[in-house]
Amino acid sequence: MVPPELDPIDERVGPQSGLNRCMQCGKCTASCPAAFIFEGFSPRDIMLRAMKGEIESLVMGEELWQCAQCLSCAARCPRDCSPAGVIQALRIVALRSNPNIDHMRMIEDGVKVNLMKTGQTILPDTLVLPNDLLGPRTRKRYKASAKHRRELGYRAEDSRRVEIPEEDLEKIRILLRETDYC
Amino acid sequence: MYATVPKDMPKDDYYLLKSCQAGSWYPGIEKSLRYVLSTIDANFLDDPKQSSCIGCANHIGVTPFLPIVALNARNISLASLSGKRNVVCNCPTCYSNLKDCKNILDGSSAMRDRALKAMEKAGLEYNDSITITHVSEAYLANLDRIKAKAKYSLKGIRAVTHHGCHYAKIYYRDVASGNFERPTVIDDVLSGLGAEVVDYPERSLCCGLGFHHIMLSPDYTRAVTRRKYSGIIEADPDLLVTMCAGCTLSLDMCQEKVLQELGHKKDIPVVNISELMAILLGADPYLVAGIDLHGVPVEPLLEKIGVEGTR
Ligand code: SF4
Ligand code: SF4
Repeated sequence: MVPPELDPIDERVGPQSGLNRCMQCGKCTASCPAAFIFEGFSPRDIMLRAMKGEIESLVMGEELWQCAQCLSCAARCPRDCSPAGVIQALRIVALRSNPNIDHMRMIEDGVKVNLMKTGQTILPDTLVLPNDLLGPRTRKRYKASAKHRRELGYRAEDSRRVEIPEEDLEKIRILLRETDYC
Repeated sequence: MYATVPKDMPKDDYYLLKSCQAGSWYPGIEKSLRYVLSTIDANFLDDPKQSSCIGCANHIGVTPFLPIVALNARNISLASLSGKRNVVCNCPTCYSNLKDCKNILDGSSAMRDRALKAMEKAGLEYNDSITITHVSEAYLANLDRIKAKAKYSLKGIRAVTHHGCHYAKIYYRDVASGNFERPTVIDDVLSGLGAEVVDYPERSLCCGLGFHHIMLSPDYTRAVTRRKYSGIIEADPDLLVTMCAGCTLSLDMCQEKVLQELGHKKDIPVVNISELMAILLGADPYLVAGIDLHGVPVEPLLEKIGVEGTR
């Protein structure tokens, strides 16, 4: 794990973020569906702590992952701040610094494998819906989706009808390596 | 309230930016999109070289921004050099993410320099002469052509709409109709085709997907879809129309259980705008629009519209 420090080239914590001008009015929190549901979650509070430089406590906390990235906070902020963008940048720091978020690192690894293999972020088997969100009829229909996918001419293992040509995949892999991602 | 900045909506010469979410969950959305553009004789390119935009991993917060900017520098350049320079996004997250990347690449910053250096290493040159729109805007721009070729109308159908947050709330000044609090792009398309579009409370609320939430914190998805549907059932619609595969997934797959809990007996078919346009233009609802992949059966809507041959 590396010490939690903001990435100086990440513009989401630069001047556009609003970390120099948030006035703590709370309009973001009032607009936030995650604040409505998760007790204690507040984009206004995240802005305050980030402005005070409390990066370590922010990246170690669970609340960073409770934001649903709906961007209501940024759209409604009277000072054009983006708590959502600050949260995105902090999440990347947390992945390197917080030992307790292996479940997020699993998603990180899954996305990397998908991108290197196919040039896609999401593949048909990347997201599996939890059974208890689905009613009985929906569950049955959801189970049959692989079959209906084939009827439409799409394969089970790719989100693309026509895969990306190999020589282009090679370029994509170079870009991912040259940006220190893979 | 922000005034809507009128913007040119390109009517033709589209570069189709395919969505990995749509391709994974509702491939019928993508098939429908191609069907609609072909049927109205719009020129478009479906380029297999285009990569994913990585927008969803960007929001989940599991992929740093730099590789995302680099990969989209390539996508933007592909479109610029293709002769089809109006990038039309199937997914609102692709739409806003691509705009974010284009802004970085057209500015000056360390992020831009590093992304372009990676492009150089890959033997690619950055080239930007594109416009970026969402496919619903392309339908609005081509409403006359769609109306002229439509086999069915939405007359007598009560519809509600849900615009993706990443369409309305990120580039909120660019919303093509209405404003970010009350975007009306889909509304305009539907009413142009005869539907009665009705309002409901919580129109601008998130769909409940939240990317990783639907898997890791389903309590969020459950609570938000419940809040959303509490408003929708007040309007008692025949149909809910979306513009995003992710919103479709959450609102469609969670509906049965939520409506049961709310004591609402009537299904509300959830269809993506592309699927609906294709069906109205005469596409096979099963083999093009892929309605079997939906959680809520779409057949009751098709019967109301008068589409024959439903199973
Ligand atoms: S709405 Fe804007 S200014 Fe107000 S607390 Fe939130 S981020 Fe700060
Ligand atoms: S983006 Fe996150 S913090 Fe902002 S309003 Fe939506 S859920 Fe809340």
